[in-house]
Amino acid sequence: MVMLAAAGLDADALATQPPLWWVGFALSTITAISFLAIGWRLASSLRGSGHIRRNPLALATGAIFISCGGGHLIHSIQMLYLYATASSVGLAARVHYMDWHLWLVDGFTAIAGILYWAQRRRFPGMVRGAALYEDLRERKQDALELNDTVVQNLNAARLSLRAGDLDGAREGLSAARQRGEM
Amino acid sequence: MSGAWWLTVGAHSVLVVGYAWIAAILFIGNTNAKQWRANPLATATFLIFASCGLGHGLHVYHAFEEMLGLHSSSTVAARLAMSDPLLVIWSVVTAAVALWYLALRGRLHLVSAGAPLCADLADRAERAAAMRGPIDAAIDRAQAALEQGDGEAALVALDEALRASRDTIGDLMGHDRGMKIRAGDLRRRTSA
Repeated sequence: MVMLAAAGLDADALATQPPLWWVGFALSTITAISFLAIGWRLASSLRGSGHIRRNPLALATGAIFISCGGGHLIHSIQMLYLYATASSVGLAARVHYMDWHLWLVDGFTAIAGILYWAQRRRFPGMVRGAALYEDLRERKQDALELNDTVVQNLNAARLSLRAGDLDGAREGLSAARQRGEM
Repeated sequence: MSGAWWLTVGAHSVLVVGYAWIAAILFIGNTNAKQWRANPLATATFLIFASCGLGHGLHVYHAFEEMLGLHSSSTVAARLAMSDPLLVIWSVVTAAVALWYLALRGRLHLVSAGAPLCADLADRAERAAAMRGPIDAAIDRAQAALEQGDGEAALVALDEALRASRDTIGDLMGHDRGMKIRAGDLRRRTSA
């Protein structure tokens, strides 16, 4: 409390002012609840899809919401410290959250969080789209290998056949069929 | 007051830059794809990153407000609140998550493209699976023709197999909407 007292702030002085920190507390808490709910919902969609590891974008989006929601929750909890103990951090958090600039930005964030939550029925589609993207990247790898293995062996078989080398053609075809099944 | 608030300020600074970068990518993506109204999830995602970036920026600003000759009490309060070990650890974790998200920026067009791209991806995945059949069938025909000593028929079947293979590869590797292949994206699992 010494640092704050030196700066002209103490719990008694704060008690004489209107409890405006409640505005910051409310906005931060709304943001925390909406973000954590979004993170939980995204995680549920991801778990339901069964491809948690293969869907990094959806996983990272869920992690963003949980980490941001957790941060706002910590800010809110800090403001409640003073109810439990004479904490300088608790007092500092209340003073910090009496700034109207922070209310404005946190207000926008809370609205954005609520807007995002309102779109929750689209989450499974987003998770599926991200998973399909990963699936397609995998398929492009397959296409590259298809060229390296099947197409090359087919070309070798074709050349052998044109040259009248039937054994070479058989060999090429067998290799193409085997590699294609890998 | 411990110096731990510096860590929090550092993490918040990373968040400001990271979120601003992500918001810029989403802004450009949403504008190019004309998705601001059609895709409310993409719009909300942009708003989240933009407002969160601003919020973290304000925390950093408060921590240094004193240097601008403004409210010293506000700066002391901000630094003290930021020295809470719980907030320090959480801020660092949050910054790490933001960097991870930023590392996936190549995939962020998915957020802007939304449902049409999802439908296109599903269509392509189905088509690719369906196209493996004709390649195998043509190879089988060529093998059977060779066994019967019919070189001409084998050649025709071989050409069909090659055409089908090239069609499949061309379809999958095509530079279609949002699926540009960048250097290093495709690496062989085994040597060719």
